[in-house]
Amino acid sequence: MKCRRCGKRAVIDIKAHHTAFCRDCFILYVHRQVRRAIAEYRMFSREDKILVCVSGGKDSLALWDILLSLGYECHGLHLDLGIDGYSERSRMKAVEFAQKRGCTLRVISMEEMGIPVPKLAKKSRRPECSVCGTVKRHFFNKAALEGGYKVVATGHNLDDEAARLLGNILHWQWEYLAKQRPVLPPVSDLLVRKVEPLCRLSERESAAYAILTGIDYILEECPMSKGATSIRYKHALNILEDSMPGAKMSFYTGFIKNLPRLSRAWEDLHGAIGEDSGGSFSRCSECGSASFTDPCNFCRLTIESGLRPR
Amino acid sequence: MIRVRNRQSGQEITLEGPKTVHQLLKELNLVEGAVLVMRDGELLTRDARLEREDFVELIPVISGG
Repeated sequence: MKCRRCGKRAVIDIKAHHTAFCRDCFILYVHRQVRRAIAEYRMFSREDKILVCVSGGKDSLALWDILLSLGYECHGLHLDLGIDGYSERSRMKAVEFAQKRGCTLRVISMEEMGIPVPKLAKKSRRPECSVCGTVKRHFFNKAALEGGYKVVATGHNLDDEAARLLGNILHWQWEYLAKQRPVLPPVSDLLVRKVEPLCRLSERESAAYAILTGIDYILEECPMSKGATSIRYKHALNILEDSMPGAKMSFYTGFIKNLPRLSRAWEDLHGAIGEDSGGSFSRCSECGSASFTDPCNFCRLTIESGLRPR
Repeated sequence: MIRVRNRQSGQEITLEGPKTVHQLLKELNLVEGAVLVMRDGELLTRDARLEREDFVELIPVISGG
């Protein structure tokens, strides 16, 4: 197969776009897709300081690499979740990437704060992935506010978002559907803007980018995510994509296009959300974070588990 | 025989060759969106032909959680 752009030997074929690329043209394609997502969804501007959340996996490290290549000012944040062995190996990948590129990386250790995710999950009797999500959302926003960042960027890709959408539809989670979008606008001085610049790239494209640019990422799966429903949704969507190339993209982007119709559901639940609109957010009386409830989800979790951060 | 190694699990199998990457994935019941295929450090497209003595690596790309 030849590269559609320059005619050299292709290293990756993308059925959804009926195309194939050599290494260099694929990198250009990836950068173009990310630039398009940033512009189309008005994620951020050249002046914004961005905090990239890096796990040590392919998506977040690829995202950091892409944003640096595109000339954005971005620093990394790594949460060491305290998952025995796996977290140390993940942390090393993030640290090594930052050292090689000479970039700023902040590491927050859950173990050092006395709230490692496995222990929090056990003590609170909640599912590990749910606890992990609560912890990440809390610290991503907290670190961004502390560091004066305008934007928090995560490595969620098209497969992540299509799988999340499928899950939300299967269970008709209206509130989650109303909140699912590639950009969550800031809310006064409580929540910073959250963006997903890889939302136009598949997981396979993201992995190929990491490999072709020499990014050393953690290949092993999180031991806590074994049997996760998101993996089953991704598998189902990949089977569909195999016979209907482009299905994932049209499923997700079609949903985003139709989001205004869902905004009514959001408004009914929490009031209008928009730039600097507080909606019905308030401050958590325990930690001061933005929350719909008091205490916030994170504080409720730590109170339930009896493990408060040091 | 084509030697096929899963880079994530380390598991290795051998398959009859020659065949294309597309045929290899079909035989292993894998969908193209879930995996990348490498030979000699290079990624391969689905029409790439694998010869009898080739050693290829499968790189799973799906992560969850």
